[in-house]
Amino acid sequence: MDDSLSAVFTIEGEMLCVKGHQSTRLIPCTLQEVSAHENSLFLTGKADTRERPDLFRFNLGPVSGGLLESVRMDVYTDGERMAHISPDVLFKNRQPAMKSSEAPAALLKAERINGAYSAAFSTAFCMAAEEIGGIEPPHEVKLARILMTEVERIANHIHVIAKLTEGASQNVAAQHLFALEERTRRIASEHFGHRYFFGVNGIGALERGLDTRSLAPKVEGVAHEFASIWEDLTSSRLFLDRLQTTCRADYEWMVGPAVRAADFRYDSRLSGYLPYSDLSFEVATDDTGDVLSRALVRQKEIEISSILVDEVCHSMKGAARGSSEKVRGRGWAVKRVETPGGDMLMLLGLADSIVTDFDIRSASAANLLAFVQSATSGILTDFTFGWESFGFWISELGGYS
Amino acid sequence: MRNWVLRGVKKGRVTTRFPYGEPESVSPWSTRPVRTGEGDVTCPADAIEDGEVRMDRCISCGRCSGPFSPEGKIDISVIGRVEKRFRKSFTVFVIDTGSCGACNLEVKTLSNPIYDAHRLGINFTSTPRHADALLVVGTLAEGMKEPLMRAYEAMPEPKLVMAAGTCAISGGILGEGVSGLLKADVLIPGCPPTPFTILDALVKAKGGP
Repeated sequence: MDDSLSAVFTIEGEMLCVKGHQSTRLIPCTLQEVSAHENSLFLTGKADTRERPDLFRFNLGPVSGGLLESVRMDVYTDGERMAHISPDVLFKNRQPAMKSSEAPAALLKAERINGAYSAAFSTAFCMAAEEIGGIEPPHEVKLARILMTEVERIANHIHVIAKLTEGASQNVAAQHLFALEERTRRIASEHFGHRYFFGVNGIGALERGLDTRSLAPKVEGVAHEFASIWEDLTSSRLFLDRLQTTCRADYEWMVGPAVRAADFRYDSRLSGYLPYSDLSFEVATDDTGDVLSRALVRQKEIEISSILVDEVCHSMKGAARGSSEKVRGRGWAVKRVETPGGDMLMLLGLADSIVTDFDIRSASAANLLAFVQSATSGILTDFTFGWESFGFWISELGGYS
Repeated sequence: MRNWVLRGVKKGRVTTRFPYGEPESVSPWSTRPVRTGEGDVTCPADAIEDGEVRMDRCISCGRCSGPFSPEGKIDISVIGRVEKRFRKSFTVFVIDTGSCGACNLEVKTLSNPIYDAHRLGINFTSTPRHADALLVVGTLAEGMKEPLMRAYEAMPEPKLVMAAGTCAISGGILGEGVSGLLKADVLIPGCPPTPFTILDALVKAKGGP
């Protein structure tokens, strides 16, 4: 297995060094990039080789019940306390071949890096290709991208909260939430032609025509039912006790709901990569940084995303089908998009529509160290709550060739 | 507690009638595209041969739309072997050998009240020692070859191997499929295959509902 998670992004001083095929560029570096870089060796399970004879080791994975994906975790315990966690995320590293692909074909690969976040990944890819090619997509396309990424956010946030609920053995509530997640996927299928938005986004266009007329009330219905379930769920002291003070993480270098749950107002949607400033977008935060805070942020974001979908649907009647434009010229671009798990940085280099460089810094890469550090203060049964509350996807951790 | 009971009563039955009735929801581009019009198409997955779409390679991207339209049928799986001994109780072990996560979510969905695979005698296990079938999702990543074979060898006989999703069947556009290591008895196409398609294949592989 390849030990490196990122061949392109490195840190030099306070700058992010992006080594492209055509040139090298230093761009201002955020805390998130530093964190992801520091994580990169740690994530492979090879950074830490110390023997711990005084601790008991649980080996979890790479294939294990309860974990949706293949990942190896060595959990060292002292009694019931977790003293150290050493993850190895590279078992299922696919190394998809991005370079030398035509841009429209590479777009299909990019949206399959993380199927759960495919709308966000394809949006980042398209925006990067459009910047390189000097293509200005129609306003309706930008709005459609907001629709896709917000419906995707709702589905993923419901999934995360359902998994937390399942972990807390609130099984009736969990099944209501899983059924609600399925309802959201069916809405996506009905309006976008695919449950995971595959094949919808295009460079400068949408590959599929959209009819958004009845989308808003359906999404509002999901948000309304979620709010009702959440109200009943949070009336259970058992549920709240399990989440409160568990795996507290208040690191500024985290991303997504995790950093916002620690009262940092960091959300890449604020940068205006899509016209969020025309909508009543607001950043949801909480102030404790524990599992409950992260769930509360997701709960608020479901409501906010529903409002955004409603506003977008009222300002567009639909979007006509087009097809990806040919990207002319050479160059590369770095784009930051807020996935449901947090912001993701994507580098794309193109030379006459052929991919020359590709890399990402995913939300999971930025947050994994936060999970390990926050979980090691807890007991073994906190593991599930910590893991699920960050909403990790192993599929977005890995290298590209 | 009372709230949950009332909520359940108010919602009524949410579970699908499938396989005794038709699927209530079909994701159009996850079904087989068929030619309905004129025009040339370049398939990014090389899935079109002699004017027909090979579902073992189709990645459900819809780039063939126009000349091709989705057929809308969920029964697109290839059932190479039926094991009737599993008809009453069919236990499945899922292994992710390199997926994007979408197939994992669709398989997980089968346990929710809408699909409720348990009513059909289908259960999921977290150990291959209790499994009747190995359900593989994702491309075959180098690091997962050994865990896959160890899981297969740990399973008791008789056992079925099922490949769910284009990545597991042929590798799709992202890598190689599982066929390099194991022969799959059941192929469940789609990117990802929808829960109805997976459920249909599981029911057929065990010899009926």
